[in-house]
Amino acid sequence: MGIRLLLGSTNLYELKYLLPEIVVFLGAFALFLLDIVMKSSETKKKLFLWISVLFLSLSVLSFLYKPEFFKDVFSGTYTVDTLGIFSKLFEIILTLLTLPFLHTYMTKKNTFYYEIYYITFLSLLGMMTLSSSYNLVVIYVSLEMVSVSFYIMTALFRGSFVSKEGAYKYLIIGGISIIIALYGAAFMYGASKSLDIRAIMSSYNPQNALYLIVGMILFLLAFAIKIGIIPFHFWLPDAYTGAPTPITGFMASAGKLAFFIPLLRLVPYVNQHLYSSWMISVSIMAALTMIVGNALALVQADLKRLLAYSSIAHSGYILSVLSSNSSMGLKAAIYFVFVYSIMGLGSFLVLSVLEQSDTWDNQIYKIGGLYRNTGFLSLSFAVFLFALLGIPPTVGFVGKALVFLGLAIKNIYWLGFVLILATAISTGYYVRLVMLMFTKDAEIRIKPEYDILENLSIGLLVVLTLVLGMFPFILWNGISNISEFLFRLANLR
Amino acid sequence: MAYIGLLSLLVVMLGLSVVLISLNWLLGPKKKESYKTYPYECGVPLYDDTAQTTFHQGYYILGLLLLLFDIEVAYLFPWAVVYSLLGVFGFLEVFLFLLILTFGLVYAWRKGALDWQFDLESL
Repeated sequence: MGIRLLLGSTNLYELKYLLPEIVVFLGAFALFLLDIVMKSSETKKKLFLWISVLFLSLSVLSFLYKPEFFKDVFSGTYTVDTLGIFSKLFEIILTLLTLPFLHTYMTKKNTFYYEIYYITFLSLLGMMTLSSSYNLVVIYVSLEMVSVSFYIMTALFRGSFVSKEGAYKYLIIGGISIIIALYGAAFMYGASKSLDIRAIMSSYNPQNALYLIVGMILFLLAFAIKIGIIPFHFWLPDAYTGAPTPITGFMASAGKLAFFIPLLRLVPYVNQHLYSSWMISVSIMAALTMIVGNALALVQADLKRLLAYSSIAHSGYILSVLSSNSSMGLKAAIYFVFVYSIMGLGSFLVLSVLEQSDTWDNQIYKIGGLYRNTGFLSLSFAVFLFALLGIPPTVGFVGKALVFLGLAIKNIYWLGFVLILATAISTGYYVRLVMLMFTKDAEIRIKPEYDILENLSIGLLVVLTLVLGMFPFILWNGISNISEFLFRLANLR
Repeated sequence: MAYIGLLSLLVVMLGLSVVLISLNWLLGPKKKESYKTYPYECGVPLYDDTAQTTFHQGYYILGLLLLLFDIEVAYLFPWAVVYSLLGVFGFLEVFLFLLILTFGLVYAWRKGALDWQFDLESL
């Protein structure tokens, strides 16, 4: 009796390894029940914010209880390891930093939906499971969980045509991406008779090589659509422009981080037989993304679209270093993903505060003389822009330098030079924004209001951007160990 | 020759339908009435004769809910087949599944998706 056997192997005590996930799920459920029971009021709005903050903080605290640092639980479908723990911690903290902005943004724009809180929680849960599994089915389910939440969150902007358009495009192209991922998963399963990426990739032999490569490339393409790599990027600027701005920041930071993790987990298992096809597809997409993404950002007149294209270009930087499947390359990729999630979130959050005033409509020239209006916001925006560009005292410089090192270690210099060229193109629009903010006379009057939580979260992001840039070893030591560990595990097979 | 029965069935089928339709056409009374060409809509007067105006999204929400519970029943069938094998564990799992769906229904109810007298602001 196969079913009896399967039930017998389900060990419920292994749920203790999923404590943070369970706390996030309970948070979503509590908010949902509260939404059903309570009538809409000012207290309810405040209560939702504080309950979300409470559950996310509890989830962060639950990481203090760590039974083991590396273990496969639930028959190997779920992996508890340091990369997973690290990225989950990052995702929760990024959500925590976004929530206060979401609250004020929705209140000011008069488009308050309580649903957005628990949908955020559910997408966070999906991200957490996505960051800690090697199993194709678990990856598929959590990919759907994150994506469906993102479609809904993009559309939640009352009466905005742009929001609906962006959500619709995202839905259609996201669906195509899921189909491609399943197609690739079918090839991989057929080639190896296993659903575990580690077993699939190490089952290489000359007979199944073709199916394995086709499956791997299709899987890569599906993730490329989700991340917004250039030939498949058309949905991204529309969806990012249509979504409420704090949600855009959430999608660009925590979402992008979560979508990258399965690819990062795949890298150590790309052996020398698979390497050439992996290298060709990854490096061509990365080079295209870096050049075209930055060139398109250069001609944008809308600030939110500009940041969306900058987010595409940054995916290109991260993808480029995946083409060197060395321990150094993986370290650089992990470092850059984490770092981009900090500065990307910061830039979108500043924009969301600016958007709350009536005179602001996201046109770039409106940012002229922002320093005369609001010193703190324009200074922190400048810090984030410099970090995105990669100027030394900020964390972006460390990230880009590591990416270049990771490429140089495998002698992929041409991609390194494309990276430098792309950065040179990007100087045009980042520096132009900073110049407009600080040297021009004020274009419009803006009196942004932000409460203590928002102040704290922008301040924390600025401090992180600067401190991690000046002392990169704080993050580097952990990431270095993670990458070495993943490669050691892959070599053991 | 093995399929001769199938062929004869086809012939009988075609012949019978041709005969019945032509008999109806030959013997039936023919009266011109305006309601004969009137499109049928659940016994109520037609909302509009071009079928191109927008209709209320309440229809859409109800259709969605119906589809949801259709799919739920489709999921319950395989469970019912192996019910005796799964025992208490399977019962609890399906109970949780139904509970979650019930919460979905309660949510739709509370948000006013089941109210037929729509108020534009409540949706």
